[in-house]
Amino acid sequence: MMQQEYKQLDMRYEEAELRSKRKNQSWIDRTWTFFSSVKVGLWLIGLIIIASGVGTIFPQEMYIPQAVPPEEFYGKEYGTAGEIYYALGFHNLFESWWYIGLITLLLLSIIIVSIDRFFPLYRALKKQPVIQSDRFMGGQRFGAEATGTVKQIDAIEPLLKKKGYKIRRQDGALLAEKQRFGRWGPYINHIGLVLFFGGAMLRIVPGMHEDELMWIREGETLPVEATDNKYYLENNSFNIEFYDPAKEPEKFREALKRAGGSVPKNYDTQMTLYKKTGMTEDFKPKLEKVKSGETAVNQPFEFGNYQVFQEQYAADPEFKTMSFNIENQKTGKVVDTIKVDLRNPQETYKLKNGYDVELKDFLPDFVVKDGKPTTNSSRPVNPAFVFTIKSPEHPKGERSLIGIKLNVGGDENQYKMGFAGTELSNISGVRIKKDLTLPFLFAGGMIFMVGLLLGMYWPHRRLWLKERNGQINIAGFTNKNALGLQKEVNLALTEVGLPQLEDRQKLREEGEMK
Amino acid sequence: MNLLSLSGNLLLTSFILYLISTGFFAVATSGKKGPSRSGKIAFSLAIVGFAAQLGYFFTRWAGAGHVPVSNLYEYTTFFGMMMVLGFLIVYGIYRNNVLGLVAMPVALLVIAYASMFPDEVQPLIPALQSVWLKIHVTTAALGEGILAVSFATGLLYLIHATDFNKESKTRTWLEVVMFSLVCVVGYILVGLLFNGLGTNSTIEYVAKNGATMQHEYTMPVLTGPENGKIISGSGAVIELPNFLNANKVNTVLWSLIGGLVLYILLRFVILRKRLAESLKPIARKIDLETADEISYRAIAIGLPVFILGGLIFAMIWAQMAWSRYWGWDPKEVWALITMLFYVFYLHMRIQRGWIGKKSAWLCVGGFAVIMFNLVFVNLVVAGLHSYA
Ligand code: HEM
Repeated sequence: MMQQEYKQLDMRYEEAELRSKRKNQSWIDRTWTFFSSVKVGLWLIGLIIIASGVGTIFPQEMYIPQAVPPEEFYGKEYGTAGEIYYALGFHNLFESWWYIGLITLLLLSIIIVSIDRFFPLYRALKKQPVIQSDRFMGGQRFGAEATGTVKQIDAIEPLLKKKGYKIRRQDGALLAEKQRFGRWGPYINHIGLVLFFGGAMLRIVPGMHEDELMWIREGETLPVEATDNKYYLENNSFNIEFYDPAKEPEKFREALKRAGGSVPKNYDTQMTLYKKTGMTEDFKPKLEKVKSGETAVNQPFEFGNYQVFQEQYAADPEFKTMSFNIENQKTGKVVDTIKVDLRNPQETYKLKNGYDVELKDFLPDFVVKDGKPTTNSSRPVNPAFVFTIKSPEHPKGERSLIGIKLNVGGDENQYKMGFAGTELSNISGVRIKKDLTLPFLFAGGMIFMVGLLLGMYWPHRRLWLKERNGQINIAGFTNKNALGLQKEVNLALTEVGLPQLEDRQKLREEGEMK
Repeated sequence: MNLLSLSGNLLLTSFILYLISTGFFAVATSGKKGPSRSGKIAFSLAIVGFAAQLGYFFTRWAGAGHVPVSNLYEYTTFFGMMMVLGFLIVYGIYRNNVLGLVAMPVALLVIAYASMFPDEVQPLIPALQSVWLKIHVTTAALGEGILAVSFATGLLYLIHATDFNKESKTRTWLEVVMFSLVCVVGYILVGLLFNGLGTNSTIEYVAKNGATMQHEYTMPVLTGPENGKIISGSGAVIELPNFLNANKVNTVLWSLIGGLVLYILLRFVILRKRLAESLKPIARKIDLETADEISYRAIAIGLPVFILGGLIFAMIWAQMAWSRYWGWDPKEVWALITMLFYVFYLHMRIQRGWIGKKSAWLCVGGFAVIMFNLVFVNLVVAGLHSYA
C-alpha cells in the first residue's frame, strides 16, 4: 500500500531550485548561500536574544542617575560584576557597534533569504500542473486511494467550490486550491520588517529627525533650536496637581498612603508659539504669534512637523521676583517697596522722596566659600543681594547683605531692607520632536502585521484528484492547521463516496512506535 | 455592597469555579476515551468562571474609574484570565480534556499569585492616563495567555514522550520545571501562613546614595541589609550588600524553602515518584501528534496577537507618552525577546524540522520567558513599567 513506501516530500518550495542550493559556487554565490541559510539567520536571532537579555541585567547608561559618572556608577552600585559589565560595554549595549551589527546582519539575512526563496516559489506555484505524478501525490502528507470513477471527481467539484476552492481540471483530473496568498505571508512580513528597520535607520539622514529637551521658566520665551531658531516658545504657565489623599475618594486612600510621597495627577504647560519674522535694530528677534495651546502628558502640542511633549518639570521652583521694604529702623516706618526681577535685576531703584537703592551685587545661588560670599550657579535658587540704601540722611549710602534667613551688616544702619514677599516660577521640561521617519515605521509595522496575519491565519490548501483505470488517487496539502484541511475536505469526499484523507505521517509514526 | 467589594467577590467566585472545573477535567480524563459528560461540565464551569471573572473585571473598572490593569495585582489577575480565555479558545477547537487538567491549574496558580500583591485600587499617574494603556496591556496579555496554552501542551508532550525509568536530560529538566511550579505554590502558602501569623519586621538601613531607607518584612527575616537597624520585629540572620534588595531575597528564600518542603512531601511521602512521572498516566491520554499540533497552533494564533499588543500598540503609546516609540526599557526589551523567541521557534520548526520533543521544549522555554518578564522584570529589574 501507499503508506509503506511513503516518503514525505519537502513541499516548502515545491521542489523548486534555489540559488543557494546550487553546486559550483562563485564567491558571490557563497556569500548569498551564507546569508540565505536559515541556520545562520537563527544563530543571529539567538545571539540577539542573549545579548538583549544581558543588556537588562543592570540599567543602561541612559537610565542611571546623571550626577554620577558611569565609570564610577557601575562599580560602586553593583561591585565587581558591575565593573565587568561596564568594561565590556554592556552599559551602552543597544548603541554598540556589535549589537547594531547583529541587527544589520539579521536584516541582510532576511532580505537575501526572501529573495532566494520567493521567486522560485512564485514560479513553481504559478505553473503548477493539474495532473501530478504518483511520486508527488504519494509524497504528500495527506492522501487516500480507492476505486472510483471520474463522475465522482465531477461531483466533488461544486462541493469544493462552495468551500471557496478554485478548481482547475484537465483530462478528468482535478486540482482544488485555496488561499494561495497565505504563502506570501512570510515574505510580506519580512518586507515589513525590513521597511521598519530601514525607517528607523533613516534617522541618520539630516532633517529627518530632531530631538531637543528644553527647560522653560514660566514667563520666559526661548528660541527652539530644533527649528533652527525659526520658532520661539513661551511658557505662559506651568501647572501641576498632586493627588490629595484628603480630597480623593476613599477608595484611593490606601494606595496613596502606600505610595508615601506625592503622586502627580496632572501636569501641563500653557504655551504660546511665535514665529521669527526678522530682527529689530538692536538685534532682538521680531516675533509674531502663531498660536497658543497646552501640552500635557499624552497630549503633545503640535505645530508643523513638530510636537512638543510635556516631559519633566523641575522639582523645586525658582524664585522669580523678590520684594523688599525699605524701613527706617528707628521709627519703624516703611519708606517704600521695591521689587527685584531676578532674571533681569536693575542696578538702581529710584524710590519716593529722593531715596535710592543700588544693587551692588547679586548672588543667585548664595554660598560662603573660604569665608567669602559667592554664588554656586546662575540659577536663582538661594538668592542673596548686596544693597546700598541712599537716603537724605546718608547720601553715601548704607550697605547691607540680605538673603534668605540672612541679614548682615544692617544692624547699625538707620535704614534696612526687609523681605516683603517673593514670586516663584515653575520650570517646565518639554521635549521638541520632529520625526519624519514615523510614517515609514508605521507602514513597515502595518505591512509586517498584514503579512503575519496572512501567513498565520490563512493556510494554503490544495487537493488533487485523478483517476486511472478505475482507481482514484487523492492527495492533500496544507501548510498549517492539518485538522482544518481534513475537516473541510473529508466532508466533501464522503459525500461523493470517496475515502477520507489519511494522515500518512501520523500512520507512519504510530507504525514506528509499535 | 459597593462595586469594589462586589468585584472582589466575583473574583473569588471565578477562582472557585475554576477549581471545580479542574476537578471535573480530572474526572473526565480518568474515564475511558471518547466524549464524556464530565468534560462538558468542566468546560461549562470554566466558561461560567470566566464570565464571573469578566464580571470582576468590569465591576472593578467601574469602581476604580479606570481599566484595572495598572498595577501588579490587576495585571497578573488579568493575565490569568487571559490564560483561561486562551485555553477556552483552544478547547473550543480541539475539545481535549487533558489539556484542561494542565492549563486550568496553571491559570489558577497565576491568579493565586496575583492575590499576593496589594489589591487596593490606585489613582493613575499622568503617563498611564491614556486609552492606549487599555489597548496595549489587554492585547499583550491576551497574546501571552494564548501562547501559554502551548506551555501546557508542550509539557504534556514531554511527559508523554519521556521514559521515566531511564536516566535522561529530559527527565531531569522536567523535574526542574515541576519544582519551579511547586515553588510558586510554596510562595503562596508561605505568604498566607506568615500573613496569618503576622510576622512583621521593619529594618532601617542607609542606602548607597546616603538616604535612610526601610525594609518592611512580612516574613521572618533571614536576609537583611548591611548594618541594618531593627525598628520592629526580628533581626537578620545574614546581612547582604545593599545592591541586593534584602527583602526580596528574603521572599525568594522563603518561597524556595516552602517549595522544597512541599516538593519533598509530594515526592517522597504522597506520590513517591517524580512529579512529572506521576502526571504520565494523564499525559498519555493526549496523543503526541495532537499535543504537538496544538502547541504550534496556539503559537501561530497567539504570536500575532502578542506582537500587536506587546510591541506595536506599546510603541504607539510610548510615542505619545514619552515621545519615543522605543527606549530599551527592560520591559520593552523582554517583550522583544519574547517575540524573537517564538519567531525562533517558528523558523526552527518549519525550516529545520524541530518538531516533537525539541519544539515542545521551546514551548516550555517561551513560557519561562513570559513569566520572567512578568515576575522578575517587574520585581527585580526596575524600569518605567515597574509597578512595585
Ligand atoms: C525578527 C525576524 C523575523 C521575523 C519576525 C520573521 C517572521 C517570520 C514568520 C512569522 C514566518 C512564517 C512562519 C510560519 O509560517 O510558521 C517566517 C517564515 C520564514 N522566515 Fe522569517 N522572520 C524573521 C527572520 C528570519 C530570518 C533571519 C530568516 C533566515 C535567514 C528567515 C527565514 C524565513 C523563511 C525561509 C521562512 C519560510 C518562508 C516560507 O514559508 O516560504 N526569517 N518568518
